[in-house]
Order: sequence, then C-alpha cells, then structure tokens
Amino acid sequence: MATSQRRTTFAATFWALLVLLVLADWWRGAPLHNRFDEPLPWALGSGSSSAAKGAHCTAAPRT
Amino acid sequence: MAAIEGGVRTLAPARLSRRVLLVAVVVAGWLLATWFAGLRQGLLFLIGVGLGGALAAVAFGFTTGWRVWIRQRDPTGLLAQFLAISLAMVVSIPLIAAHPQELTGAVGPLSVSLVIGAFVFGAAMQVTDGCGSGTLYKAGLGNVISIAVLPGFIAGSFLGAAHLDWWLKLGNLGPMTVQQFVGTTPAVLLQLAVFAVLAILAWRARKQLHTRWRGPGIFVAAIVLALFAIGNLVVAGQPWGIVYGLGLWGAKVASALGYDLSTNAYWGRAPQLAQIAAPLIDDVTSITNLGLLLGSLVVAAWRGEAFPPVSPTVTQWAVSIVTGLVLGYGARLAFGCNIGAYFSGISTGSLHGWVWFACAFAGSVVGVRLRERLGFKS
Repeated sequence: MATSQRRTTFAATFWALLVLLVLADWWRGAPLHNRFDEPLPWALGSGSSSAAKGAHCTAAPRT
Repeated sequence: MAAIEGGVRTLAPARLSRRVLLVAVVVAGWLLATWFAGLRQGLLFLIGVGLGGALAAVAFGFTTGWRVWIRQRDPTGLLAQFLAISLAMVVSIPLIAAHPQELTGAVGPLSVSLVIGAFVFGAAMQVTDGCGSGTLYKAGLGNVISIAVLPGFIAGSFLGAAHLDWWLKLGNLGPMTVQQFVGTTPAVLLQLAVFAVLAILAWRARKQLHTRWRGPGIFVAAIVLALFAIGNLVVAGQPWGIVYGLGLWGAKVASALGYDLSTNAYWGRAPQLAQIAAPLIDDVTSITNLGLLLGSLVVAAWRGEAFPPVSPTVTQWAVSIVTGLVLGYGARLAFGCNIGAYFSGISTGSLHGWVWFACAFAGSVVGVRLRERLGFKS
C-alpha cells in the first residue's frame, strides 16, 4: 500500500510540475503570433506553411 | 462497477462522475490551449489527446511490438505498425505532392549520424521499454520508469540537436524521398509493396500464437493513429513528431539558466530562437506532446489503469535516467524517433525513415539482450 501511495504521489508530482512549468513558460514567453488575429485553423488550404518553419525532428542545423 | 438495471447497463455513480471529470479535463485543456495559443494549437492539442488515448487504450508499443517479434516471433505489433504507417502514407504522400506550399514531409538527411543515432536509439528504447511515443504516453499515465526517463530524454534531445552540425560533418548525402526518384503514385505503391513483403515474411516466420494483444483492438488503434497522424499533417502543416518538442523544452531550460544559444548551429537559427522565446504551447510539436500526455492519462484513468504497479530497483532507476539521455541524443542524431523518423518519415516518403527502421531494429536486437541482463521485465 505504501509503495502504491509513493508511486501515485510521484506521478501526481510529475503532473503538478508539468502544469506549473507550462504556466511559468507561458507567463514569460513572447507569443509567435497574435492569437486574436489567427491564420486558418489548419495549414491545408491556408496558402502558406507558417506552422512548419523548421520545428520538426527532421530539421537540420545551418551549415 | 457496471450493473444491469431493467435491462439497461448502468455505471456506478463514482465511476460515472470520474468519467465526467475526465471529459471535463480534456475540454478544459482544449479551451485553454485555444484561448492562450489559438484555434490551430487547440486542434493540435485535441489531436495529441487522441494519439495518447489510442496508444494507451491498447498499449500500442512500437518498442514492445519489436521486442515480442525478436524474442517470441509474435508479429502482431509489427503488423499493426505497418498498417498504421501504410494508411497514413496513402493519404500523406499525395496530399503533400498536391499542396507543397502548405504541407511538408518528415524528410531527414541520409547521414552517418542517422545510422549511429538510430542504432543507439533502438537499443536504448528496449532497455527502458519506451520509444518517443511510448515514453510520453507511459509517463502520462503515471508509469514511474517513463517519468524518470523523461528528463534525460529532454536533455539528450537538446544536446543532440546542439551537436548535430558536428555529427553531420562525418558524412551526409542530404534529404531524399522515394517520390523524387519514381514519382508520387509509384512511391506509394512501392512502399506499400515493401510493407506487404515485410508483413508476409513476419507472418510466415511467426512462432507465438498467443499474442499479448487480444482481439482486434491493436489494429483499430493503428487505424485511429493513422487518422490522427493525417490530421496532424493537415492542421500543423507537418507530420507528427515528438523529439523536436522535447529538445525545445531542454533549450528553454538552458536559455532560462542563462546559456546563450544564439551561436549554436541548430538552436541559433532564427526560427529556433523565436520558438525558444515563445511559449511552448505555440510550438506545434510541444502542444501535441502535451495533448498526448493528457490523452494517455485520461484513457488509463477511464479504464482504472492509471499509475501502474512498477517498482524499479535503484539500479533500474539509475539506468532509466541515463538511458533517457541516450534516447534523446540518439533520436536527434537520427532526425527523429519512432514517430518523427519511422512513422512520419516513411509515411511521407523519406528514405531516412527506412534507414532508421533498419538501424533501430538492429539496435533493438542488442537492446533486448541488454534489458534482460539489467533485470527489467522481459
């Protein structure tokens, strides 16, 4: 029982930390775009690839 | 507990209220993501929830699928993976070809770093029993080993990307797709044929008749994963990825600690510096990762399977933390993990996805033996 409780506490702490970090990050971050002046909700049909500027695992460094 | 009342299946109030709460958490997450980051990010959050839910619902493990093939010649996991990637591919490749200004594939360079990184990643993912998606969804549902792996994974992804320019100097042929050699439709047919041959070979060599996955659930999950992966491409403009987001989290931590990343060949590029300065919920990969974490927790809690009973030894804790670092570093050298390179690479026609598959599978053969030596559950 004690082990199960420790496990749950560990996982709950992970979630609490994650939420706190996301909040803190949002607080200090400079948004990439004005959320009240959004592009189309999906890239297909939007006419541009603004959502995909090197932010993928396959992106390479500058050479 | 479910009960039958007047021929109608009902749920006990406690379970019903828990499920209502879980749905409310997802809706709240979606509303918050939409309010603070926009409609597109809100949609990507929901796609992440769906991906995490599908993975957790049937324990859709890329790692486990390979391991049960290597150890027991059980082809079920492999076949489900081939189905998911094939379904995503028949839509993704033509879609990208028709909309090159709006959609991009997961096309990574063919490089020495790809071979080394994929091999190391394949070995490490067997040791920790978690690839990119596996580590995330298991951490989300409260598996303590995967939670221990995650910080190392983040640090490794950040460092691997930071060192990538050096690794590329060892040899690099640049990015290539199957469709650039044979055209769009033949590329789809060719890749389907390769998967069909691999599936037939896996099926013919099977030995294990009692698979760990009961019923058609894993194949339903494969279809759901493919649909959400296509949704990710349509909404984000790029295929499903995981490791970039984790590396970005590491870069944010490094930046917050005062490290100047502007001179780094990878993190110093203008788009990366903008992403580091922006909230991570503005990043398409990070928002999907967050949704994936929540989706797996919600589905596991819905089924009463959250916080699984895993009790690692001290050695296993230490191994998990270190192996997380190796996983992250390897994935960045290989231009993706099982999702960014294997799933999304192949489903968008990138040759690096096939090289990743071969090298990571070879690494997994080594990793399965390492895992047994370290005393992890086989």
